[in-house]
Amino acid sequence: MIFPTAAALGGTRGAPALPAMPSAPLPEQTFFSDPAIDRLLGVTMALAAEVYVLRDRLRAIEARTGAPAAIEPSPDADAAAFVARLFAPLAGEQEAKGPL
Amino acid sequence: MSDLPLDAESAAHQRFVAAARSYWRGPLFRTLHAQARGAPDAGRDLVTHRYFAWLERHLQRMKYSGPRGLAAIAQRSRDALVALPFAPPPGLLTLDPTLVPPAYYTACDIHQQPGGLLAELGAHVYRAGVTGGVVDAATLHERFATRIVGDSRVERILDLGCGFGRGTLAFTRAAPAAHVDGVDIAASCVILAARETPAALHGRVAFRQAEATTSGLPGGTYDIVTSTMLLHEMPQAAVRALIVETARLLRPGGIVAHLDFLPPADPVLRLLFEGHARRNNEPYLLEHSRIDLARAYADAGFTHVEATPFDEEDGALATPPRVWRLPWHTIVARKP
Ligand SMILES: C[S@@+](CC[C@H](N)C(=O)[O-])C[C@H]1O[C@@H](n2cnc3c(N)ncnc32)[C@H](O)[C@@H]1O
Repeated sequence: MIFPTAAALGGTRGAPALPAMPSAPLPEQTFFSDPAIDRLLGVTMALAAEVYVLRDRLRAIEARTGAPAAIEPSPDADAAAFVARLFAPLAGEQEAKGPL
Repeated sequence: MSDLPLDAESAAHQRFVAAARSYWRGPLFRTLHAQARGAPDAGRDLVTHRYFAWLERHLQRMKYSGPRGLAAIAQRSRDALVALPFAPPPGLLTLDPTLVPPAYYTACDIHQQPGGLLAELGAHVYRAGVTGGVVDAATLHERFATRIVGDSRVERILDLGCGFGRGTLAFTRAAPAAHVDGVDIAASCVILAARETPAALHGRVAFRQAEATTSGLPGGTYDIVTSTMLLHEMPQAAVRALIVETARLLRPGGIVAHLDFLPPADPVLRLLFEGHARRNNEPYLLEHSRIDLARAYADAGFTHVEATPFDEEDGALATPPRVWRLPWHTIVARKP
């Protein structure tokens, strides 16, 4: 959405609105052999973000009720640990050695 | 994350995206770099590369778009952001309401920022978006400005494509006796830059809304004409026009100093850099990489053209790199 630029000055100048930009949405970019994978990954990431938001809310409630914290107390450390668990499968690295 | 007021859910969402980006440019990048070395085509077809590419594209989308994205967050706090009283002292801020931005500028939402910088709150969204990101090494602008100024006596500096003034203000600190002008095409940027200028600098800094190649500023004036992350946002013809305009603006003996990106030599890093252009909505980044800048500056009458890799923080130029980074370079030339 485009606003008159002068509004950001608290209305002290009467600048007209700038010309509107083309409103065409961006074409989809895909990175996998089947675009269904790209979109499904989008759904997975949306769910992951949602789970993280719930974790964060849970921490707030725990803090308020005095319940023993089930989640790392530092939000940044918790987010980093959560993301490391979430993304661990992406690079295909295995921990157990052996053939087959 | 800058000054955008966040509700609890949006704050948590943004923290998740920031953590995901750290993982993407750190551990995932390092694994990909190791897997891709020696792989055919620099690892283009590796599954890990596909995930890396997907995450670059979509983490940026998740940061800016959607109900918990920065554009919507800024919009929800619009009144608080723009209603603050602001009466810039004379000379600090010049807007040009008649300015029509070139088509190349409006054709694409750069960095996937919805509405770009021309939106009323564009600069607020941009600032929130880059804080803590790949173009926000804490010392980047300071390092650049102090290296360029060195111990030379400088009276007038011009910062083109100044954004919300990070480089402009860094140059005022690096050259404490200089007057520094900042120019940007986006009103939201120069307004935010002027708002953020400490009162102690009023009289020494001026922000102006203008197109960089037709700034209307007086010729033969500046000791240094500079920019940070501007060139790669302009198509080749505009970069050439900018070089000619820079030659006009500088006084004899003055220097032009850009901080921008040039393609890395490592084939894996090059693949990621080239992919970054499209994934981050940088329509002219690759075109910029193909310009023979030394030639273009020489054609415009400049001497001593030098492009030098730039370490935005200590250890940034280590091989292999510790994190995915943009291939910063300083590009410096002298007007005889
Ligand atoms: C990536 S931002 C960098 C901002 C700032 N230099 C910094 O380092 O934070 C690029 C800036 O260049 C501006 N810009 C792009 N093309 C321009 C042009 N032709 N004339 C003036 N400014 C321009 C954009 O509006 C944007 O603020």
